Amino acid sequence: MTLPKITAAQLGAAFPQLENVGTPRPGGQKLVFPCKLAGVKYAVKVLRCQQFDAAHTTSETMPLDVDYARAKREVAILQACNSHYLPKIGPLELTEFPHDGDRLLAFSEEFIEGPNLEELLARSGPLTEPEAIRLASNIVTAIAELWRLNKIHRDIKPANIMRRNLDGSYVLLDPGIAFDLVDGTLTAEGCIPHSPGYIAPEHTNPARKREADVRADLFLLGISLYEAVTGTHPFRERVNQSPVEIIQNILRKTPITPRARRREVSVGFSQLVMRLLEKKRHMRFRSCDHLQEALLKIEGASS
Amino acid sequence: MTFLVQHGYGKSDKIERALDECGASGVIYAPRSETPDSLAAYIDKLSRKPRCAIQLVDPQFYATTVPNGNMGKLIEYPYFRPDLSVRNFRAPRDITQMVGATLEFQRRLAVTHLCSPTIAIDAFNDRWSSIALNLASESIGFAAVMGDGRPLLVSLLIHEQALRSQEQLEEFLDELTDLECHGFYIVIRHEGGGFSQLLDPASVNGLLYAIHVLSEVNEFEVYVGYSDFISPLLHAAGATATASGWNNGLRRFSFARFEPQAGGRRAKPRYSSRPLLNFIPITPEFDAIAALRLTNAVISGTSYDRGFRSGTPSMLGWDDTTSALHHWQVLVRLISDTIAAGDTVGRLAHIEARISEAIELYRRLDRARIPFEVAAGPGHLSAWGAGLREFRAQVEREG
Repeated sequence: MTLPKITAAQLGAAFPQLENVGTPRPGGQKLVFPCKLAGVKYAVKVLRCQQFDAAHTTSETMPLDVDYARAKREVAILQACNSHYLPKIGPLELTEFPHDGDRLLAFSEEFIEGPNLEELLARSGPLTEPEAIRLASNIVTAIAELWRLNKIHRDIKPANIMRRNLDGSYVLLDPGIAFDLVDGTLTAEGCIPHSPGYIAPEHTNPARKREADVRADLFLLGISLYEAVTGTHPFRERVNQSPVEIIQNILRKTPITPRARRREVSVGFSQLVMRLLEKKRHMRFRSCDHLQEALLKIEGASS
Repeated sequence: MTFLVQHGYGKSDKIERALDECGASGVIYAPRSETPDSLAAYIDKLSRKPRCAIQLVDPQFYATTVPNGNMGKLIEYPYFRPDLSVRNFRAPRDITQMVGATLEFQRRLAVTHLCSPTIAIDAFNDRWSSIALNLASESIGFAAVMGDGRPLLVSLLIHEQALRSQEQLEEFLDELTDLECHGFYIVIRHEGGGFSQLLDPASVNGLLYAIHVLSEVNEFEVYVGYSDFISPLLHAAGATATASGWNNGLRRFSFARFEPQAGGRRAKPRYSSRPLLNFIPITPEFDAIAALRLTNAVISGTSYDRGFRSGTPSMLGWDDTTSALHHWQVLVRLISDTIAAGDTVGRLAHIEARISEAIELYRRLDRARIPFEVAAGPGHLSAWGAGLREFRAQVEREG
């Protein structure tokens, strides 16, 4: 899917209640516009709906509008969640509107000021261990909140982890491809959506997609933590490596430990990350609480 | 280290003596061998004994699928329904009813742990395996609503052959480790009623791996029933507690004793040898060992067996109760020695060395032309050793 073609001025014209609509930045398949609503800063996300040729489809053959459904799901998930480490939904509800021959969708979220982990790493290099522990603890709280609602995020990656300038906390963004273990319709065709390089081993087999649980998200958190403390992806061996090769590595290769890449990483934290990256679900942490306990132990040991 | 007495028919004062004299820490009860009232009264009585730290009831619900089975007192229990087949487990409301009745019954007892009902798993990919998981999940949900507060153990009855398929076992462990229970009560089912310590290497490896994953990796408590002489190996892999009883039927689980023609010969008097990791029949084997002045090599060194050092074993009046108490003391010492060896790697190395020593001792006895009946021989040791080495290599690979 391509990004919507709409400017800040055009968005402001479509939604007159929006003030100070700023320059957008791309966020996955969406454009994210900073703006104000009743004086409060928000992020308005805009994405394209799928286009169907109405002349050649009937109600029976009309395919599911996956993008609309995902946006709806993202909004519903965030509305149901109550965590400082997930963005809050704003006052502009999910709205479909026509623009330049396209059907677009818009909704608002809490505006989070700060860099994402990808930008942080590019700018300042690997995080210190205490900072990585903070990141892990915040994001696992967000994962636990999603899991409380029987959902897994499935798209945890550095670009989806933001650090709030306000208090330094980390926020898990974009649960748009979250998998609802009760309702699997969005992946009914067998394709498990993911960002290249960020997929749990058990998700590589579409036939078994419904067997996944929160431990898939813990695997993805493991990849992000590995990158956070080493600056490198655990399963990417070279620049421009194909996604298929990376998946093969995810399925078969044990990465070099974080400590072997960077001596500042403690043995305990290195082992924790490697445990998150275990191929077998039963070898990872069995719950978010168990991971939090392990993080506390490492924090206690280093202080 | 926790060793539990596996309760069954004919307890007399053996359990209390095991708690007082042998280092046992509790009991796993078999409703089949006790009426509901006497079971409740006995559990209540032992709950006042400080040494009896753990009491749990194996609901023995799994016996329901034995057709026309010899259920003993089990049919007097309000939760037990005989002769159920797969169709009785299809409706979720039926599962809920079975689970509810089983846990409600235990709620009224002075047990320390609640134990979920289960049915026998022959292979991890068969329909019974799914039913067992449904019973487990439903039990967890029911226990949470019940709000009893006592820890819930999910019980599992697994056929030894099922443990041979590493891939299926791993997938099953993916499911088990997703359960939000306190721990597991695991029983391994063997085929036929014959007694021996034998378990093939792949099954040993599978069992050790399952215990390791559940206990050491995922921090569940793991209780293994009917485990007898293999108990030290299971503790080496991380088992929380193991158990054994006073007769063969309480030391190795099979469905034979639930079958209509159950019953059998009384076992010959036997001596549990710590160095051999097996029993020695008093006659003719131990008499022959004593005649060749090799007693010191096989003696266990417990408070019960001093007479063996100088006398002829068959003349010592070695009765069943003393034999049982001696057996438990031997197991407790074997387990303590294993635990004292430290972490998983240390414990595995310790028990591997004990197995090698036992094999060597059997060779020495063979060279001295001591005859052993098959079940008392060394056949199990090489299988345990091979399974243990396979498991140890796997643990070391995982770091």
